[in-house]
Amino acid sequence: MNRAPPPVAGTVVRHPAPGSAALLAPALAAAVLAVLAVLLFAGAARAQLAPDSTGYAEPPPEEPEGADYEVESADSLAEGAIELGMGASGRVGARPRQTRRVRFNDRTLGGSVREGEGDPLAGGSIETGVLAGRAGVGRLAPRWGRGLLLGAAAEPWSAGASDRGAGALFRGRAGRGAWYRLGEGGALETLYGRFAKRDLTGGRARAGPFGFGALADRAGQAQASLSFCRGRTEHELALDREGRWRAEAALERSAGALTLSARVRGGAAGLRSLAEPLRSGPARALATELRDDVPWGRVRAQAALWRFAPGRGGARAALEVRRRFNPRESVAVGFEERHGTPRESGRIPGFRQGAWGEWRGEVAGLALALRHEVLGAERLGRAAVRTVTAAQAGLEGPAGSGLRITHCVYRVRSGESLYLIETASDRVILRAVSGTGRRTRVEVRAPGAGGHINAALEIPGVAGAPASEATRPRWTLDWTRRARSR
Amino acid sequence: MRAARIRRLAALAPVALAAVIALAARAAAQDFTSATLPGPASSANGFIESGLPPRHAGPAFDASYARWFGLPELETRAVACGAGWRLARVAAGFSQTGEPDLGWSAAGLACGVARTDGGAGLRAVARRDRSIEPGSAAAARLDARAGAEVGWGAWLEAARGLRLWATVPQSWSAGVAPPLDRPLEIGGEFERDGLILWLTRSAPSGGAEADHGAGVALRSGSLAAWALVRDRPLRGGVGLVASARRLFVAAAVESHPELGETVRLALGLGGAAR
Amino acid sequence: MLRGGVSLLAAAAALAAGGGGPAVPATAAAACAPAQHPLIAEVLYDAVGDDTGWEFVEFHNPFDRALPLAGVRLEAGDGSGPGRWTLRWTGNAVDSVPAGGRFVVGGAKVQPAPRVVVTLELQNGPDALRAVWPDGMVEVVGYGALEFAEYWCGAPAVDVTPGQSLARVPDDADLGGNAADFRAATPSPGRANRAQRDLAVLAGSLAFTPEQPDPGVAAILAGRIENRGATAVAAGEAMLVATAVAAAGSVPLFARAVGAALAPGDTVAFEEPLALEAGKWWLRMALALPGDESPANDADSLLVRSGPGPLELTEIQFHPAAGEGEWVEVRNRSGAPLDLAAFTLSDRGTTRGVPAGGEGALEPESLAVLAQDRAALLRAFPALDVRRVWSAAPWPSLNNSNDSTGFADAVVLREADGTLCQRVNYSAAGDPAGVPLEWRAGGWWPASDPAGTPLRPPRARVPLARRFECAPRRLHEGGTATLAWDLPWSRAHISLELYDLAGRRVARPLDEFLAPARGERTWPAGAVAPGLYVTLARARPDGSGDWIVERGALRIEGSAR
Repeated sequence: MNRAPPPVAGTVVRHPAPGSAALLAPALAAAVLAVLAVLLFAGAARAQLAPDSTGYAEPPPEEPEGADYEVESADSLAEGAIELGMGASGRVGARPRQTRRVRFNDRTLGGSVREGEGDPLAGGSIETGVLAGRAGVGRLAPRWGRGLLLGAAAEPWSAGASDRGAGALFRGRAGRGAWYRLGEGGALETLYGRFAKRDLTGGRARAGPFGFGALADRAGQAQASLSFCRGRTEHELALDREGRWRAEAALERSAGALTLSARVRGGAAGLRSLAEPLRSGPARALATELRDDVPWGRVRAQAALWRFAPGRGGARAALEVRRRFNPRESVAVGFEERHGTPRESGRIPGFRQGAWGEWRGEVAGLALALRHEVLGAERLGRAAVRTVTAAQAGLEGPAGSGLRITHCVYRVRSGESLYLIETASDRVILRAVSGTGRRTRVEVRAPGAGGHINAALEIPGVAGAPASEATRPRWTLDWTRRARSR
Repeated sequence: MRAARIRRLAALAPVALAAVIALAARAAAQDFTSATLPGPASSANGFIESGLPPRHAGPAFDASYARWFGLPELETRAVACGAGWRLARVAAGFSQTGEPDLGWSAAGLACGVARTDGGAGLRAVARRDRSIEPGSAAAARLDARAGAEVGWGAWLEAARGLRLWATVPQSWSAGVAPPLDRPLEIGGEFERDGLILWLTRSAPSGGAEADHGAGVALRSGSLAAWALVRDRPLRGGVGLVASARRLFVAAAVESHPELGETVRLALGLGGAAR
Repeated sequence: MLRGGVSLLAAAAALAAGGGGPAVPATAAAACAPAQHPLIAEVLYDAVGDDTGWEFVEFHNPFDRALPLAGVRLEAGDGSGPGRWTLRWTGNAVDSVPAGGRFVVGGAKVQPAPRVVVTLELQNGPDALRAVWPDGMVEVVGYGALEFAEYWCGAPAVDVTPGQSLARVPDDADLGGNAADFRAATPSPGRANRAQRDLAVLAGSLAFTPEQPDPGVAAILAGRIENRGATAVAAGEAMLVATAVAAAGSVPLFARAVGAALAPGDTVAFEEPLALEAGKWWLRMALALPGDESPANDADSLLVRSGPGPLELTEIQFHPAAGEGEWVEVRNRSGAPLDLAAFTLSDRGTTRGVPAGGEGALEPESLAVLAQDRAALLRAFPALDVRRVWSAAPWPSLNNSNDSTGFADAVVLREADGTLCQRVNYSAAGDPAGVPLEWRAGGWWPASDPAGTPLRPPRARVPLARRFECAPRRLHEGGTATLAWDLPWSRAHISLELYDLAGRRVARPLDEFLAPARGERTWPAGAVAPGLYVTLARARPDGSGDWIVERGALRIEGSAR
């Protein structure tokens, strides 16, 4: 659970009533004595919300639909720090799953190792200085240019991948292998690894705004790309040996608080990235976004058209308005309409239109968030295929402790999937649910053993379903400690 | 001194009234139902029922009666008392519902923290069947004759006069199933100059769709009246509260197009300390 | 019998020549109705049963002078092969047909007696008959699907059914072919095939609706009349007279003129309301037309019953669930013992099962059971009185589900003479599987005992304190409850809904169904989650009227989910 960010200049901050912290402590103690959880809210932590709050979240296209998806948070480690973590999770009455992780960051050596049975994030990566550059082995999630060869966005309307490349919100898993980077900002980069069950060798050279990259596999298939990146303008052209091409251009311009970005893509439908074929995206696309960061909040409008192949394409329009009262209090509404399909394969959902609303408030460490969203197959959300109502309350305590409880009720039409977001200390989980049900999640964070202990209990409930594996409560327990190595 | 005390008590009357009005006649109330309005509870019964702690600390006692849809075999009688100290709130109560062959007794407990601009609480209710047939499964197993549920509620003042809340009365349950499935309810009320408007939404549960409620209340001196409507099916209700000093009396009638009227009565003391 | 020795010698010579007649010269002129010659007007070649003595051929002289038959050879043709003509009779010198008259040649059993008695031995078809005149003219009459053209003229006539004759209608018809000139007709040797004046009641056209009316209640007797004569019948010329005849005597029903004018060949339907006393009646309908030349077809009759028969149905099990087979329960409502073997049991079809296997006569007011499988029924209900359990074979299998008529099937009891005793059209809609239908409260309703009550009257129900009772008030998850009702109407539409304490409707265990005044129905609570509910039972009368609505409480026990 992250701490609240410091207030931004120009925003209004509500000062808690004097002595509230002192009052909360005995209140918290009273609640604990009463053996009843007191609600705790941790600022800046997301509720059942997508990171960009434009609606529900979905796993990337290379993941199977209807299954849980876990991705590592790109939480950085200060230089000279080492982080240890141990965790366990499971369902009540079943054998738990244990995980262990170590992260370290030294001037010359850094990396992470995760280990645990059944942990999709198991594995590791290490990087160190070699000669004049840096080399690494382990998990790879690079991004070159616009991502036509490596690091494409998961959704046709997204400007960039949230789990590829440096600076991404999450550490994705495109492949495993080794890499070497030389020069300021990676002027020369080579890699060798296994991507999408294929052994690939590649390299990229950059000179100023220009970059040239190439990938090849053992069978002799090869792809190359030429990119241009300067400021907020990025272009890329990719080719393969058969002469198929694909190009994308993206630019962004600002005028005061108003920002306009546009992307256009064209090319052959047959050109698919050797490394991430399932993320190749549409052959043709046009997307634009208008964002207005006003003092009181933000207004964002998005529109996108795309086509994977003849007869398979889609469109999306979304509008979001967020009014911020202070960093922890806001109200937001959003609207979205979709046509066609965002995926290259699988069923075509067709027309969808929906809206969502969210309110967050906080008073003296007690926070409450309400969210309701509906997505329908007809206009104005009628013939609802997805309805979710969620409420979250939390209370922050001293020394980084806290308690948060979240309850959501969902109704998903047969054949559709809904993913509920769970944020753990080291990962984000998209929990797939379907049908009609409800879920309560209680999260507690407290200092312990020199670090922090996070515990969570999830109580699902599926309407009309008898007790089964899927309805048993799920628990997680995680301990994390950071220390300075020197 | 005495005059000041009288003035203070007189000042409490409308406050108590407001507090009572600010209670919730929960769309899906049950064992500790009260003849009051949605929102942060002020009566002890309301606190136990919804988990929304009252704004004001101070001792409170109330007794309530409800006859569901005019059926004599479905009557609920509840008594509860509450107390608060600074931010802490607590309430406990006992209720009985239904005739012996199909009814039950319930004990409820609620605790939480609250200020004038926000609060959160937990509630727990344990039930036991009133009559248990000797030799039956209920006589042999505790989980066949008793049940428990735990829930929570939280509310915040989003702006001056605007309060939003969420309550999940049955976040967890065990044993005998509760008599009514009470899903997540979110709502908001706006109060200004004695006028209260509110909206509520209950999430879908079981085989029923989500339902909504709206209402308006008017407060004038020691009297207050309100009217509410709900959908699925469309129905309405009215209520009246009269208070004098720390004593209040409330009555509410909700009319269902198919099932008839549900009458609720409440009598209470206190609940208005600042 | 041959007349005249010359004819005898000629016939002997023909027979001696091999049984066949002398070949017709190729130059002989064949015609369907040779001019200036008597015509073959009627042939009976296929009598019912043994043809011997019944066959005849009728010659008709349509002209105004007598025509001789001397030398004419009457030959029978065998259609199975070419040229197979056999002489059957040769006209004598004294044989002639008077002007406008007829000359019948036929067997000894023909009535009235033919002018010439001859055993013709005509083939039954497809075959032919021809008259070969001394002047070479030949008249050929072929009947049936003939292969060789010599056996017909124009087109062969229809092959009539046994007992009917092939008659030229009218008697002088000459439309260019056998098919056009001849048709099947009732044998009328020596008489006109089509009378000049003849009104007939169409046989089998009488119908009585309803089939079994209540005593004194008007029912409709309907039928059809046909003008089979050659001349028109003016309106009012004919009288229709109906009489009801029972064992106790006859009762005149009505006598009225036929109001419509009927041209030759026209038919007219008649309908007449009448009310009968209770009992079995022969309804006799007769036509009275002055100058009617064919009185034999002027009357018809119908056996009907007014009021209930001596045996009535009281319970019908058409969809057994316990393997006991289908069965029906009957009651002797007459004042005398009944032999069940004298009745038949059928459905909407023609299968009529005859009871057997029981013992003795059924006493008045007693019950008996007719079973598809007597042994299986006795195994399922071992306490039954075996003497009153009968089997009925062949069993008319009863349908289990309604068709487009709104009924599943019918159960029909008849007496041995076919008189309807009772007919029950039953509907399977709303009847729970395996539950028979029983007669109570003036209607057919699902039995009060789901297994049925063979040889027992319907289970008496305890009066209810309220209009509706739902029991038990507390049941386990997945259990069943029973809704009982006691309503002030004979038939009502009932439904049941469940609401939770929040006032939301959560289930509709019983959709609206038709019910008698008093009854009960079980319903499963399996799909309803545990909790406390308010039951809402509604009833409205069949037709129009105010609703009756009652609420109650119901608790379904179960564990928290």
